[in-house]
Amino acid sequence: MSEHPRYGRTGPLGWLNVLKWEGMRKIDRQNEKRVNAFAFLWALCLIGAALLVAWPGLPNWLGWALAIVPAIFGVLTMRAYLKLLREMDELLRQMQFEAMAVGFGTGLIIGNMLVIIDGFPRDFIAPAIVAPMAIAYSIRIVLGARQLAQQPVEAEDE
Amino acid sequence: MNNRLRVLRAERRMSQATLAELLDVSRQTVNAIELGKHDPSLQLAFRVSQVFSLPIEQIFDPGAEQARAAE
Repeated sequence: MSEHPRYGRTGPLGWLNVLKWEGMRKIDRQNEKRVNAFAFLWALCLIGAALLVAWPGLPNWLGWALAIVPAIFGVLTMRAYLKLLREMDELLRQMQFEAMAVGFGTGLIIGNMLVIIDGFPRDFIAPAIVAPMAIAYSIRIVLGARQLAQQPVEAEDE
Repeated sequence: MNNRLRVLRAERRMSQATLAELLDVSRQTVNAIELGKHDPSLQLAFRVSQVFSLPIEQIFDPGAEQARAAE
């Protein structure tokens, strides 16, 4: 009997289990949790800093200091992600690289498109690039995971 | 790339999960290699070779197309 849990992928809520891999290694799960925790803190700091920076009469130096705090968590997230990639199962790593290529390509295509659109508000260029990048990356991860989940797996042997 | 992983595993009555543990990869990786959906890295191919105590070329076959390309 395998020690790995089995996740139901059918039924109305089966799609929620698409990213749960019963055969995933412990080290990958741990590294993934670390990346998620740092990314969450990074996002939290980013929102907090954005709100505080908008405070009226805030000294300029404090604005700079507030911008640095989320950047620190950003670097920590990046380090955790690099560790995840280095130690990752090679099939999962391939999936990550493909998703990154799709995300980066989407950002490049949309970024270049927005630059040539006359009258596109400059303030929205950065979010208009980052959001599709993140969405494209996430979609590719989900599609990759679904594709692998649909591969015929042998019944519980032994 | 073709391979004899499933046959060799069956001969030794080994589950995908057991082989995955021996190779330090996920069970999905073993499954994807067996189905020919994923070509293992050189490092992993050597580990497979060690687990089955066989030379790599007796486990993995580059297939006719790649053999022709190498000529």
